[in-house]
Amino acid sequence: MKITAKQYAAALLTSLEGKSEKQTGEIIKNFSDVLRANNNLSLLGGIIRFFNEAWDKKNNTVEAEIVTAREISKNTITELEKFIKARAGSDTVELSEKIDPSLLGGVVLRYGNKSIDLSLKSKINKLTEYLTE
Amino acid sequence: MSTTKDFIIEQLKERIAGFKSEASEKTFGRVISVGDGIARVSGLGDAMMSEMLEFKSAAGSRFGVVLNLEEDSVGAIILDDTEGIKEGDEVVALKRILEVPVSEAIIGRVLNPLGKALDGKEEIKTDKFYPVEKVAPGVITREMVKKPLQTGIKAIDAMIPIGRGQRELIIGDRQIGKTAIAIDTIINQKGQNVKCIYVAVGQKESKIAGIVAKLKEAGAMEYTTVILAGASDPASLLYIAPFAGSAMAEYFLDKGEDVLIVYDDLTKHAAAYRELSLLLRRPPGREAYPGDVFYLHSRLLERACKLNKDFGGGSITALPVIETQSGDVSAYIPTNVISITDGQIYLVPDLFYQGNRPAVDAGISVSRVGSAAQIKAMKKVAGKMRLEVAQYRELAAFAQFGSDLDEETKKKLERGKRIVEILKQGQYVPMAVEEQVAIFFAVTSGLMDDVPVEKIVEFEPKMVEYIQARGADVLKTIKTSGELSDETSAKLKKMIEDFTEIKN
Repeated sequence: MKITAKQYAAALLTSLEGKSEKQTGEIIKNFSDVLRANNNLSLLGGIIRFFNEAWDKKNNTVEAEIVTAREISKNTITELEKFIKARAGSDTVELSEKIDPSLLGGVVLRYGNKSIDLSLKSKINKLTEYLTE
Repeated sequence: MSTTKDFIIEQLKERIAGFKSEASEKTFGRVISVGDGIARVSGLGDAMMSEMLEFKSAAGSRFGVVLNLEEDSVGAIILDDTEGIKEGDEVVALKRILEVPVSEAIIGRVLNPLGKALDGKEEIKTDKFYPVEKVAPGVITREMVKKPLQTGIKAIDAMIPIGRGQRELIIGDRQIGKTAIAIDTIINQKGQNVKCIYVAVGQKESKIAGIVAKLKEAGAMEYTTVILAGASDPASLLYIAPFAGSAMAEYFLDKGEDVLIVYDDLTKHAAAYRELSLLLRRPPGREAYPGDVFYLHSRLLERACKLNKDFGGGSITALPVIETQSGDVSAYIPTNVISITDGQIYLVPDLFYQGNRPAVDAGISVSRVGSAAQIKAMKKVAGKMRLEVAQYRELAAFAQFGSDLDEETKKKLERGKRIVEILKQGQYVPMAVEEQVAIFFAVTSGLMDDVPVEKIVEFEPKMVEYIQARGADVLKTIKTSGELSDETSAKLKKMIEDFTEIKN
């Protein structure tokens, strides 16, 4: 039977449950041996993706990204983090920040598989569309 | 001068004040792979079937449609060039099923399947949209086809009548006048209160330009819309073109109007769908078409209908076109579409090259609606004629072997030859029903028996002219009453007998 990347990820997550750091290393080694034996090393990219997803779901965390045109203050970031927590309904947020000058202003929030586009760029695009209509 | 400037600025200010921008939470995914008009997208966990997607590429927004929902990815077709879309680009689900703009303004226009203008005029402005995929009207809303849709082509109106709400297939090899029949039918709808939609799928744009010019010249663009997905457009546009055309037809249907829609042609449509399906890795079946090509065409043609009074009484008549390869009707797509439609007009190269144009083979062409879609007068004269044509065919094949024929047979052969002659008709010259009735009356009642066969082509238009000049009232009676009473036929007979020119 063919084992999918999703199934591998779920198996890995269950076997890691409640294990110490030392045991974890052992399990990971065994896991990679199984992958090699099954000739499934090519699935690794997918396994990592699904493992991340499943891990986040289990621990009720969400990966989030804040894209802005310029550096923003720590204060604003904490506020945004709070907002994301409330929207996504999760306990913790794994936050990453990115600077993209092409946004011109405002912010684009991405968390989980949702996104909110509050950038100036998209607003200008919408206005152009509206005015040329 | 300054007042105009102020006015413009004021207008602009007003316009901008009316602009509301709201940001909403959207589900997004990322492009995994892209190519050949197909994209695979990860994420988009709550994407719907045939939902619109927006690809935010560096080169601007591109739109796509979900066609495959898989365990951990979404397969989508891109309704545009795929250039500029990169792996990893953001894709946003728009929470809208694919739809096209509909309004009265589409009449007389040449549009692409998404409703964008292709004729260089302004874009369609409307707040009304119809979904491209829609379930066909149900049983209780329908009614029997009974009102004729006059094609203006003698061979068809007499022997293979088409009714409003019928689906009649036009099938034949390349270059023998399939499109010509469809175009003549559109031209003949002038003043008949029928809106026409011509959907060109995978056609050469030069051919469409020619058709549009011809329709304009004939004044037919006043009630016709052309939907064009050309040979150079991506397969995704070819695939949705007939459905988009059908959605536009349904707008008029819902207003209780009669619509004629031509799909030219469904062979190329099936090929475009095959291309998409194979790229989406759906398993191929016979002739490499996917398993659901039958459903593809049946759901499209099922949308042709005749609604009853309680539901507005409108109708959609569909004329799908299928191109065969050297007369092979037993290929996959032709057999499918033959079984879906209510009859077919079969065009044969032999007749075409003999000069019998339109090259309609009356023997194997059928209309399952039959004489219910004819006016009474036509029923009276054409019923007899059909029989005579059938007898002639049988005898002609038999008579080739012997020259000793009895009087009866000779007479039938002569009559048959004349009928074949009068069924010849030029392109772009559809004929009104009442004139057709007069001609058929003349030939079936033997009034043309004294005209030499080779002179019929010359005789016929002159006779029509004569009747138009001398007996306009007779033609009018036939047209308005739809019947050929003993009195009118007597008058008609008298008139044709009086017309002695060319007769020997």
